[in-house]
Amino acid sequence: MMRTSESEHESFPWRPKTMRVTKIEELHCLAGWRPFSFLKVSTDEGLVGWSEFSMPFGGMQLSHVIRAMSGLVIGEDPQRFERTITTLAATRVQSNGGLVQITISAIENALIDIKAKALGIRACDLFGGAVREQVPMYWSHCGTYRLRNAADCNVLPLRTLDDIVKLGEEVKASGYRALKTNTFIFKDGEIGSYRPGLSRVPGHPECNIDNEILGGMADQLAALRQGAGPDIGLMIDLNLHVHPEGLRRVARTIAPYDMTWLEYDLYDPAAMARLRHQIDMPLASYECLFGRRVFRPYFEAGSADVAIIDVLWNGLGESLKIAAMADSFGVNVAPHNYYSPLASAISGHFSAAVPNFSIMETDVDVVPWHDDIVTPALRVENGCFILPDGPGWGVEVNEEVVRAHPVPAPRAN
Amino acid sequence: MRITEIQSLHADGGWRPFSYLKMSTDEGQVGWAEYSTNFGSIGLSDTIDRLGARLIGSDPRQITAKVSELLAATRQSPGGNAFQAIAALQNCMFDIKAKALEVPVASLFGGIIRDRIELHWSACGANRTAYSDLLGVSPIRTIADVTTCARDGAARHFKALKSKILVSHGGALRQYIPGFGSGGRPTALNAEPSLVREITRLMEALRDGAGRKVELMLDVDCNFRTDGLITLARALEPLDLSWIEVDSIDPQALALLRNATSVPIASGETLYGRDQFRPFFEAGSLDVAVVNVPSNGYAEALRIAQMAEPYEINVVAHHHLGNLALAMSAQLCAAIPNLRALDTEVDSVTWQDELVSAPEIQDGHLILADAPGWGVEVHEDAIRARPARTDYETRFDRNAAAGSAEAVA
Repeated sequence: MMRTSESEHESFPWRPKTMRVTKIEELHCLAGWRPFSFLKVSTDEGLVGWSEFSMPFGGMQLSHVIRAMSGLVIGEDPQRFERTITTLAATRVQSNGGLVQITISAIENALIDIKAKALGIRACDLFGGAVREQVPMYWSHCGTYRLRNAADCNVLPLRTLDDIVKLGEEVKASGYRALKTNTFIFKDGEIGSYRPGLSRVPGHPECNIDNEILGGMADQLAALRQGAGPDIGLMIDLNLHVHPEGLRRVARTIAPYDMTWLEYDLYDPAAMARLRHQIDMPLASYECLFGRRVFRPYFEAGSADVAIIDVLWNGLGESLKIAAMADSFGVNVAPHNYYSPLASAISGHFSAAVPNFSIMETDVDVVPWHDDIVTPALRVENGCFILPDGPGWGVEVNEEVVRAHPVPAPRAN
Repeated sequence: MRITEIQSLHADGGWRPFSYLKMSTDEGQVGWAEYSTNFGSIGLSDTIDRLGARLIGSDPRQITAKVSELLAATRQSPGGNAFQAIAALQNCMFDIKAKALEVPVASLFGGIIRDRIELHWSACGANRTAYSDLLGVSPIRTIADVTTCARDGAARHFKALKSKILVSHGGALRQYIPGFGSGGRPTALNAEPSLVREITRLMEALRDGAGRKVELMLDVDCNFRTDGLITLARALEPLDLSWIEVDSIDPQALALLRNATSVPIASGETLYGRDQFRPFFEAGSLDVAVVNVPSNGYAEALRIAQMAEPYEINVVAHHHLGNLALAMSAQLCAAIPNLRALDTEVDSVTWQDELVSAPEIQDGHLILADAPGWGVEVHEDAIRARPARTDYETRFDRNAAAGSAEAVA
């Protein structure tokens, strides 16, 4: 039988009285072309915890799930967050994963922020401390946002292969160790983004590979390699835009460019393992997987060289459990991080705490007010994320900045 | 905060030493851990001294970083004493870290899930065959004594009683432990039919005393080969045991046993780290994972339990040492959702509570201590006043039963 809060206070007199969650709120902003969504959890002690649940299709869609779960979180003690999320998971086990998990994870992360603040320690210190204080990062979506969202980011659009060469030079000068790009298509003198696996564009829903796509990929990577030089790591993320048939041909096409990794998602551990053995470069995957149970068959099959973990969608606690499993399978981990600076702080604590760490993702092309979303601003030096000193994540969300960029209401049609 | 000194102390534990590690810091905070030099871990204190020297001057709260360094330094000698030394050092660090934050160790990571922990009586009555005077209890000499002991266990509301193998030897019951080299010569570990019958009668006697509600288990350690385990398990099936506990370094052999019998199989107390548990999880060798906090370290034990969860395996924390080790094991049990039980030997030498304060036990449950760190008081003066003996090995060997006729001296 669990004790009541009153008896717990009497029994543990040497620390502040038991805390209770009093309120759960959401904040959303539109950062150019994409929304960022934040969870704010308040307590009776006055401590506030932050987390993020940004989704490409809009975190606002989680509102109902959040409200439904809030009833099981209000009144709980953030210092015992594992008990809270274990119960939440059990109540929804028949609908596990997806939006349910993202919501539970957002709750876990906010509770972790509160718990660490209550103890006066950094979030990573709750889990054994930092193995590193400086986290090497790579420049993600390199060039991708300059195709359609250049104006949002106050950068020049990417129009030609020469622009791509210059972009490679820019990465080399930036201090980031590596860059990750996506598939570009070159058509009618324009460069576009090839993403038939994620949206209704030409190529959807078949996701067939063709020689034109492969040729464009070769040109794109050749240009990036030319500009960046031999020492910058190159990665490309294929998401689910090709089938295994196509991935094998992609790997063959891009092999000359000395790839750090090829990133791909596939809901078939055995097929992915086969690909890993067949291609001539490291395979990275798993950004869409939720929880140890789902990761398990992929680890057992040896499906990927690098395990990408989304720390927002899994929660820091669960992410560290996944990373500990990965360690046992000889696999290093890399956080999936392309959201607001709060997400970078959360991913940064994850990256600091794991021995088996690969490299941290970050977006560099962002809206001009991106860094202002958190206080204090995150520090990046020589391409490395510097772990903040403060308790919890070490940053707070700047509500004024968030409210200054609201997400417009959806149109009627 | 910096570590200034690391020191082992050994107290008399009756038939073995109680070994404690004391870690001191420049801020006055002291961390303790209990470990065993008696778990096949000969020379462990020296290993702790050597590895511990690397931690002097380090911050005891940066545990993952230091453990990683020590594992790297001992990578070519995986498991065994190196791993157990890192475990003991890490456990001291957790005590310091938690005390500095004024919380129980279980409050770190995800926090406390439960503060009332179900107890299983491990090695039920086994030490009463040889050390009853040291334990301050009536001896167990006969099968009738076993039934009485089981009745007592049920009356004390223990959820389960787990027995070792006790066989008649020289007119009284003794522990059967040829796998540990008792009797001077190791035997071939065959499961003779007479032995199987005797074990069956032993478990029936336990069931007579315990009644139907109490769970029963048999712990065979490493005293049989696979074929013997299968024969024994099948013979015991009618007794509705909750599990048979086996120590094995072979995941496939254990999986074979598990597939051959309806009795659940528990194992793991002699496994070190996620790396050693993983093949057992993958091979489907276990129903229940037995995890040893003193010999793995708190964080590693936690990670093992967390890795067991996606295999739908619950965890027993194994305890066979003193009050400090019991408290350390209890902290793990407080913190994991997938807990099966806290396994404790219950009986202890009469002076145990002088050395380390006793955890609170009510109705067969351990109540998590209301105190920072491990939550017990270590009485250093009392430990120093009762130094370990030097003749435990001869005592231990004399009190075990010979393995079989061939091993009689």
